[in-house]
Amino acid sequence: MWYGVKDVAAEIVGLPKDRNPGLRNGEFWAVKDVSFELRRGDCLGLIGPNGAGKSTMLKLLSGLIKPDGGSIALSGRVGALIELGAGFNPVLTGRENIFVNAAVLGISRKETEARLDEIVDFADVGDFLDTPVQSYSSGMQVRLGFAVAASLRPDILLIDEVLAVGDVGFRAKCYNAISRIAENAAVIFVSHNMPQISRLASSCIVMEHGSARWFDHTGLAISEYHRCFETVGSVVRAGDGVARIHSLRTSSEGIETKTFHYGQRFCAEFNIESSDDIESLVVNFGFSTVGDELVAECNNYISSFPIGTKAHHRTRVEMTIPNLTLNPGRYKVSALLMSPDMTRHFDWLRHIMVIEVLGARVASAPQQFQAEWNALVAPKRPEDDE
Amino acid sequence: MTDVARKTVYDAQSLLRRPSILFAEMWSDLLASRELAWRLFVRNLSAQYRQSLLGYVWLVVPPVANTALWVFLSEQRIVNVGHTDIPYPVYVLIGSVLWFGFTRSITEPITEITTAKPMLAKINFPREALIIAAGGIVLFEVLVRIVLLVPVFVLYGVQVTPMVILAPVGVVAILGLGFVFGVLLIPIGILYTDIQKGILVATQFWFFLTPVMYTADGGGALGKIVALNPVTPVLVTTREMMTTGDLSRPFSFGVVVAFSVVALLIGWLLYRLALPHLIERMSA
Repeated sequence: MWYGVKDVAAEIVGLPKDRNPGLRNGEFWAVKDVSFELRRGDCLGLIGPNGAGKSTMLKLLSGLIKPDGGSIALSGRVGALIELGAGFNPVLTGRENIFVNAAVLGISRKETEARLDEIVDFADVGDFLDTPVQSYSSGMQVRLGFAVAASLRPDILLIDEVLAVGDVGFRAKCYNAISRIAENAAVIFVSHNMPQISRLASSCIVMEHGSARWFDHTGLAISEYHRCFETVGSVVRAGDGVARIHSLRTSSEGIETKTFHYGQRFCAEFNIESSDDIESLVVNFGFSTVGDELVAECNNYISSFPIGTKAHHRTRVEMTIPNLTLNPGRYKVSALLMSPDMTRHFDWLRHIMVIEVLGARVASAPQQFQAEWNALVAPKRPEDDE
Repeated sequence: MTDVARKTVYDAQSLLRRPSILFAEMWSDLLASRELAWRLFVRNLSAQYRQSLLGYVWLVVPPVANTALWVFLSEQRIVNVGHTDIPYPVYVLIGSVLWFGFTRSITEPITEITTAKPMLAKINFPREALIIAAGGIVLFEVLVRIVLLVPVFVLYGVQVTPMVILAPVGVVAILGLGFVFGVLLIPIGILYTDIQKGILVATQFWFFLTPVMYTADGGGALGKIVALNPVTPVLVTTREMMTTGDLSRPFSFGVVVAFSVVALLIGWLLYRLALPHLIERMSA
């Protein structure tokens, strides 16, 4: 609070500011060293963990907060999909609140009246339009707010995580509205939904603790985003130890690597050392997302390939997945050695390594099957013209 | 349909270093605020009375009750403070209406800003609109009360003189004076929430130092304080404009009005300079 008073005083007195100001006690850089240029038609995705500085970045761009260093230049009208339903008063009807919200967003009364039908249609609240907003469900309130915001015709559009709500039909309407605006504007949007970023963004900035990295390729940006969530922890090992996995290496086409392209060959080589003769054991590899969700497994039991060991002899095992059809992203690999009836667990290594799958497009589901596709345009028949 | 490229630049330097740009922006924001201010004014007024049982009746009840009480007390000769040129109940009533306007002008701006905090922290809109809307609300409530004075004038047979034409100037002057304090207090009010309690205590105290209920001609220590009180000339002069037409302090009135105009402009400038820093500290 006291720094607030000092800042205001400095502003009033008109002191010249340092090019490179320092931090006062207890302060931190919310956004530091970010530089970029955007043109009409560009769509920039702003991603990063919570608290990285994304919303602060949007506030700087909309002129709500003054930067402490550097400058921001904007050409044209700025529109923001940040706070939906701003200015809404629950006692007033939907129709009345449309006018209030539109006025707050900078849409003149004439423009609001001209676009009223478009807004009412988009919001789709039916007869509730003339009842007080406090009787609306939260979804309806958001729809109303979004409908007003979607009627903006800005040159620069800023969106802050508001695309997460509504049912599928409404979300489709939202995407269309944003695409329509994006044709003639520069868009910057914040999202935690990676498939959405992959779909809409032409370039990305990944923010973490105030710093930012620009990526022209969304896939790489999303990988970087996932990297932010990796916690450094020791490998957890359990099991009775009669058999143990050692020296695990992953490679593709003979080259040792932890990075694979979607659909590429995935090879894993490792040794098993055991203190007993084991006739048959099961080797199971698990692939989990950074959120610790198990999304795929691979084991020799399903493939009907028996593996056995001899006491104090090293068994070398190679496993190949001809095409790794995991959705591009980062995955933690864990390994398990157990008996075929699953009663004995010899060795269990959680998160031995992290592999990265790269691809042009990040989709939603963890498994993306590769299929054979065939499409043929049928010749036109005279009967079709009726 | 886009405007011809309107370029905006934000940087760390104080806005005061480029005064011509700053003043141009302030003026254009003021114009841009018109529609929004009207919308907010209509919204606040409609919402205030729509939910209540008696609705717009509440606008009228407090002043009517107040009037009746004072008339009654005066008849009973419980309160009697100095000689007034017009019947005492009328004297007090005009005083209370004007005092009401003054205190509302102090509190309404900060109230309006506080209500709009969620919007302020997230959307960039012409913020002068909030102040103008606040002013509109106060003006409306004062006007209602002034209208209610008319039957009281008739009841007590108070004559108006041609000076009454200037009365609106006086009303605006006292509201303006309150507004000066209201706008100046906004930056502090956003940072420190106890300012609103402070205002409450201060205005209650100030009430007794203003010749609302008693005459301004008394002597002694109180008389000196009353003479220094900036509200005194404005209150007294407006009251005189409405009734006797005999202005006792035209000079001090003029001084206070001039001061208010200048102070209001400074307050506006301060508001504008401070807001980005204040918004930084507002939780969304």
